[in-house]
Amino acid sequence: MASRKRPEPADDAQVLSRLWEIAHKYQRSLQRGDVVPLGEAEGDRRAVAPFGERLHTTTERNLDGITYRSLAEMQVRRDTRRLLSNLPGSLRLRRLGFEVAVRARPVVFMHGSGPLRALGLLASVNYQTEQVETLPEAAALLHELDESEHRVAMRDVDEAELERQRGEVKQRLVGRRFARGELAGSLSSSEADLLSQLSRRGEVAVVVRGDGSVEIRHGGARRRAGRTVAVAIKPRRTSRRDG
Amino acid sequence: MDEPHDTTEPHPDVPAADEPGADEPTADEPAVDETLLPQLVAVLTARWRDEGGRLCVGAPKRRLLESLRVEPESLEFLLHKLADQAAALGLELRDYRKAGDTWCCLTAVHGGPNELAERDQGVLGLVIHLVRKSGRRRHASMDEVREILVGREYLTEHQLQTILRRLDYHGYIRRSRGTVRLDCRTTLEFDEAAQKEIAEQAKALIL
Repeated sequence: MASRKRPEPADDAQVLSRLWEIAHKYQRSLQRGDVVPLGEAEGDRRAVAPFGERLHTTTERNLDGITYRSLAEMQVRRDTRRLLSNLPGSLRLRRLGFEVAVRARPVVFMHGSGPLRALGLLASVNYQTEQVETLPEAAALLHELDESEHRVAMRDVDEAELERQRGEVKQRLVGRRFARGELAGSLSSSEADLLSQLSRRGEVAVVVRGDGSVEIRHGGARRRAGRTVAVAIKPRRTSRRDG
Repeated sequence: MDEPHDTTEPHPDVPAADEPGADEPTADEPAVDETLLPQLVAVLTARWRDEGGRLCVGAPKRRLLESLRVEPESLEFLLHKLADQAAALGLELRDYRKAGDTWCCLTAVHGGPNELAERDQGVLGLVIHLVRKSGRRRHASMDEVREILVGREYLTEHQLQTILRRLDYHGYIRRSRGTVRLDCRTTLEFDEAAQKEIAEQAKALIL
């Protein structure tokens, strides 16, 4: 399809002349860093399209190739400009910094003092590597977490203390029957863990009854002889003792 | 003239390491003390400032001759020996002209981190483009840099001045009488092809 602005060239010489003109126009624009508007570039592309059938020699086809490459490069430039226009300036400057950094082959300094004493105006330059400082918001958040009553403090394991707590759990639960939700609500995470340990040792037996309720009994060989089922509960009670 | 040029071509007098007798001195080789090589590395990788406060990259050959107390032929032999050994470590011995002297330094072959933040390097990229655009004048005007970076709100005036001072401090640019020139560290770290690519990126990203 020929360009609307110009009639289709009558002979091969005119075809070459027109191709040459378009190729030159885009080469010049690319060199200068100009962007040809989309409508104009589309018109040129349509003008070039029918010339392919009328090109015979290698030189003519090369010229055709150069023209299409220029059109494509201009398209890439136009799209890039359009995309870049949405980026904030600071990001574009940083992006250029990245492009510079990847091409650097730095001079090697191995000897001498790192921070050199600066003279004159240069003395006011802060040449130290940028320090990563703790953000005030982060510091406040950490402080708040430290103060939180839900925060679990790290402490050493004291076997005597653990044994005492196991005794307490045993004393509190043995001989009682709970609905499963009720048991979960009456235990904290650490108490549930201790109950699990007691059951594993055989000191208590957690008996699941036919109606789904759970009964905690004293352990023993006879208790362990029964069919074993897993009882999963999600402890919900919170305790100051955990914190 | 501060244009650096490479001297990493193998020296005709230095036999290749895998040739027989590579470690044995021949009749053509000058008698040199190879224990000077570590000292040479120390000198070429030291950072120091000259009387004008400018960062110096490497050392001038004239001072190497004085401090090592060797003949020019011996120094050349030592430098080529060093160039061969540095290549195995990913380093390259470069020499360049500065203030009428030939200077030598070691640069990395495969790149690596430098002392600048991303934004500093972005400004350096723009200066490289403007200096190349200026043709034979080989400098950019401060007004032009300010108009682009401050006028188009990439940076504030204070940020721009701080970055330019930092680039000056690290030996990448020289500022004088409202102009900015590339200093020898830039021409050493960015060869012609790299500068051309950086200039194109600067044009696309900033201009």
